[in-house]
Amino acid sequence: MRLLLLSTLSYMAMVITAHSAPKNVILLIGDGMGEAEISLARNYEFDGGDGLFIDTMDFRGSAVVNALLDSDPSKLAFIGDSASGGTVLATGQRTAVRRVSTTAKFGVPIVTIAEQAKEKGFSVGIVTTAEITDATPASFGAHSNNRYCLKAGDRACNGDTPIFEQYFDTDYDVFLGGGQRHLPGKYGDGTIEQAVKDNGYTLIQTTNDLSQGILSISDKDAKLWGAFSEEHFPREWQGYQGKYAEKMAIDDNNMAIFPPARNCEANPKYAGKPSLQAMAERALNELDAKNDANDKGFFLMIEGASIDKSSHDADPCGVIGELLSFDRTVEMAVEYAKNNENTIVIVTADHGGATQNIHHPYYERYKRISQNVPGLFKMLLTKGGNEMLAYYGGNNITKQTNPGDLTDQISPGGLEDQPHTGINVPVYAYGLDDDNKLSGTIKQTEIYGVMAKHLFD
Amino acid sequence: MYRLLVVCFSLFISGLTFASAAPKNIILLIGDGMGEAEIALARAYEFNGDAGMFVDTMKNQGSVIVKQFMVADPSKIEFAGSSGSGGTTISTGYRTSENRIAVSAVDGSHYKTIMEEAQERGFKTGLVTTANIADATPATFAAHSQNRYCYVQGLSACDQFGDIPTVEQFLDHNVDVMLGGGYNFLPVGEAGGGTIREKAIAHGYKVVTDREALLELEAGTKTFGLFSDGHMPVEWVGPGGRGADFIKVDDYLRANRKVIFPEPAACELNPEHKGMPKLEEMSKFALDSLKNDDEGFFLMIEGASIDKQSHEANACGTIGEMLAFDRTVKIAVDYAKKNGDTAVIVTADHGGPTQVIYRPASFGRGVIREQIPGLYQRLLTKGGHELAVHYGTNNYDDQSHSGVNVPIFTYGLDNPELLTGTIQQTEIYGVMKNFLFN
Repeated sequence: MRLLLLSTLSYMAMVITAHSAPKNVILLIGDGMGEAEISLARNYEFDGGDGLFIDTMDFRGSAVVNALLDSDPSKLAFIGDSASGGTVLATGQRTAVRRVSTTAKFGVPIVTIAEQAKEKGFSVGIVTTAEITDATPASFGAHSNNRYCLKAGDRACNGDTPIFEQYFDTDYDVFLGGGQRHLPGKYGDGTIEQAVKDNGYTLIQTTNDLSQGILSISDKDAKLWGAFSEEHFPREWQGYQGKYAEKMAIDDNNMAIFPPARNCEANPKYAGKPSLQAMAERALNELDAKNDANDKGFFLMIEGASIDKSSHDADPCGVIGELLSFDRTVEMAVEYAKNNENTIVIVTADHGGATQNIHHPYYERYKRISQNVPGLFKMLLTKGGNEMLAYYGGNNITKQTNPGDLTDQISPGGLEDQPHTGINVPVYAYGLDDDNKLSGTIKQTEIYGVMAKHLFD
Repeated sequence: MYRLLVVCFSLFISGLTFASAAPKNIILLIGDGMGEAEIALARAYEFNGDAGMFVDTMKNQGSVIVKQFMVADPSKIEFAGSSGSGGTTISTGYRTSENRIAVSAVDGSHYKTIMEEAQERGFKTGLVTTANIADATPATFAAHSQNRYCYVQGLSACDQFGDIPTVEQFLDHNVDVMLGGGYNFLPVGEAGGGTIREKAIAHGYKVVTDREALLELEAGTKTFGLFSDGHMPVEWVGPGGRGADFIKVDDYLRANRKVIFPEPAACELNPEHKGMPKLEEMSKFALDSLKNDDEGFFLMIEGASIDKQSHEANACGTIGEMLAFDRTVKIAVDYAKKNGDTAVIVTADHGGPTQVIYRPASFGRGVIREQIPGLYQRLLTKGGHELAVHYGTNNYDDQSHSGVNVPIFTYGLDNPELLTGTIQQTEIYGVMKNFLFN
C-alpha cells in the first residue's frame, strides 16, 4: 500500500515537472557501521526501542562486502577497508584494501560517480568527520594506490599524485572535514592553505564560520573548503573518565571483577567543533542554492567517519556518540529529500566493525573466570538504566594500553587496532522508485548503479 | 505508529469480510543464532562473496531488534538474547528472560503460543529441529516451563520450578509431526507410569528412530521421529575435525611472542552425520504430512546447530548447518509458490559470536599473541579463497551470544511491509496470527 502510494506520487511528480527539477543524490556512509554498531547505539540510547531515525526507513537491504587481494585480484578478501569499500561505492568496482579508486594490483584509475557528476554539470560536495583526505572521501575525489598518500613528500606516495593535489583538480564545490594540520604542508612553491585559496575556495575553520551566510546564494560558482579540526574530528562522546574498553581485573580466585556500569560522557575535546549535521546542513544549503541556477542537481557524500575509528580503538562510547550523530544527519538528509523532489538518500557502510554486545556478567550460564572474558570490555549504563556489556575480542592492545607509537599505518591491521569484520552491511534508501530499488540482499557494487541511474538516466 | 494503524485497519477489514475458505499455512524457519555474521560466513565460504544464498533472493527483508529480560530483575533488559527468550518472543509476542519457555519472566505464568492457538482452531501443527526435540526453540511453541532443561522426568532442572517435562507436554499437546534428535528420551519414564515411547504410542504416534523408517512412512502419519542421542550430529566439521583454536606462538618465554598461523584448509563432512535424515528431508516429510484442505497448518523448522556450533567455535559446523538451513528455506518457499496461501517467515532468535577477520597476511609485520586473543581458524573456501574466522568472546567454554539485530526474510505475506525495515521481535507473532486466523 505504502509502495503504491509512493510510486503514484513520484509518477505524478515526473509527469508534472518533467525534466525541470534537478536530480540529487545524498549518499551517507557510516564508516564501519555494521548491525553490531547500530545495535550498540540503539541499545544505549533507546534501550532496544526502535528509536533511531534509520529504524523508520522502510527500504532496507543488506549489502555483501568484499575486496580483492592486491597480489592476485582473482582472489577475494572477505573483509574490506574504507578505501576498498569507498571505491566500491564510488565506482561500482571492487579493489584491494588501501587503494583509492584504482584497480587492484595494476593501479588503473576508475572513474567515480562524483567525477562523472561534475563532468556532466552537477554540483558535488564532500563532508566527513575525518581528515578531508581520509580514505572514504578520497575514494570520491582522488585515485591513489595508497590511501595514506595525502600530500607531497608522504612516504606512502611512491609516485602517486597526493590526494590533496588531486582534490584541487576536481573543482568540487564543497569540502568540509578535518585536517588543519595539513594546511601548512607543501604544495608547489607554497602551502596547501594557499593552494586551497588559489583554487577558488573560501577557507573556513571555525564553527562560527560554518554558520555564516550561504555563499552560493549570491555567487553560484562559490566554492567552500572547511577544515575544523587539527586531525580527524574528536569524537562527540567518550567512556567514563575517557577510558576505552579494557582487560578485566581478576581477583585471587581468577574471577572477573566487573566495574560498576557507567554512562558515556561528552568528550571535552569535542567542545566547540561543528557537528556532522551542521556541516552536512551547510553543504546541502550551498548545493541547494546552486540548484537555483543549475537544473542538473548535485551529488553529496556525507561520512560519519569515527564510528569505525572508535571501534578500532575499542571505544564503545565513541561508537555510540558518532552513530547517533550520523543518524541525526540521516534524518536531516531525508527531510531535505521529502521537501525536494528527485532527491534520493542512500545510507550504508563501507564495511563492518569489531563491536560486540555480549551477555551480561550475571548471565546464568557462565562462571566469570578470566578465560571467559578474554578481550576488552566496558560495562555501560544505558540511558534507561540498563547494564550493557560492550565487548571487543579482536585485539587486546589499545592505544591506551600500549601508548608507544607502534602503529604501522601501511597495514590495515595495525598493532593496536580492533579488526574490521567480514559481514554484510545494511543499506537504507529514501526516494527510490520501483524500477531502481535497493532491497533484499545485494552486492555492494550495485549501489553505484542505482545512484548513477538516478542522476544520469 | 503508521504500522500499528495498518495492522488495526487490516484486522478491522478482515473482521468484516470473514475468513476465506482456503486453508492458510505458515512455515516458520528459525536459524538459531543466525545473525548477519553467521550468514556472511557461510556465504563467503560457499559462494565466494556472491549473494548466492537462497535467502539472498528473498526481497522482503527486514532487521529485528532482539532483547530479553534479566533473570534476577525482570524489570531490567539484557541486550544479548537467548533461545528460550527469543523463541518465546516469536511464538507468543512476549519477551521473557533466559531459560524461560513461553512463560512470564516475572511470575512464570503461561503465555499462549501461536501453535496452541492454531491447533485449537483446527490447524495441523509440526515441529522440526536438528536439536534434541525438547530443546528451547521447539519447546517455546508447544510447552511452558521456567527451566528449559526440564526435558523429561528425573532431570534436576525439573526440580527448580516443578515444571512438567517438555517431552510430556509435547505429546499431550498432540503436535502432529515432531522430528528431531533425542531418542535417548524414549525409554525414560513419564508421569502416567509408562515410558515416553509408550506414551507416544498411546497418543497415536508412529515412533521412528532412523532415517530409512522416516522415508518409508506414509505422508500424514502422526509421527514422533527422534534420530540421535541428544542433538543431531552436524553436517560439517573443520579441517581434521578441528574448530577454531588458540594461535600457537614461537616462544612462550619471550615477551613479544610471535604467532605461528596454521595453514588454511577446507571444511570436511562430519562422518557422524552419516545416516541422519537431513533437515530438508525432515522438513519435506513434515510439509507433505501437514498439507490439508481444511484450516491449514503451522510448521516450525529450526536449524538449531548454527548456534550450537558457534558456541563451540566450530566455524565449519556453523557453515554446514547454515547451508542446510538455507536449502530448507528454498523447499519451504517452493512449497508456498506451488500451493499458495502459505507464508514463509525466516528469522533468528538471537545473534552469535562469529567474526570473519583479517587473514594473517593482512596483519602487520610480526603479529603477537595479544593481537589475536581468542580462537582463530583459517579456512580455504570452495572457490579457493582464504577466510579467517575469529571467536573472541570466550576462551574457556561457551562463546557468548551477541546483542545484535537479526535478519528476517518473508515470502507470501499479504502485508510483507509489516516485516520489512527495522522491527521489534515481538511484532512477528502478530503478523503470523493475523495471516493465519483473519
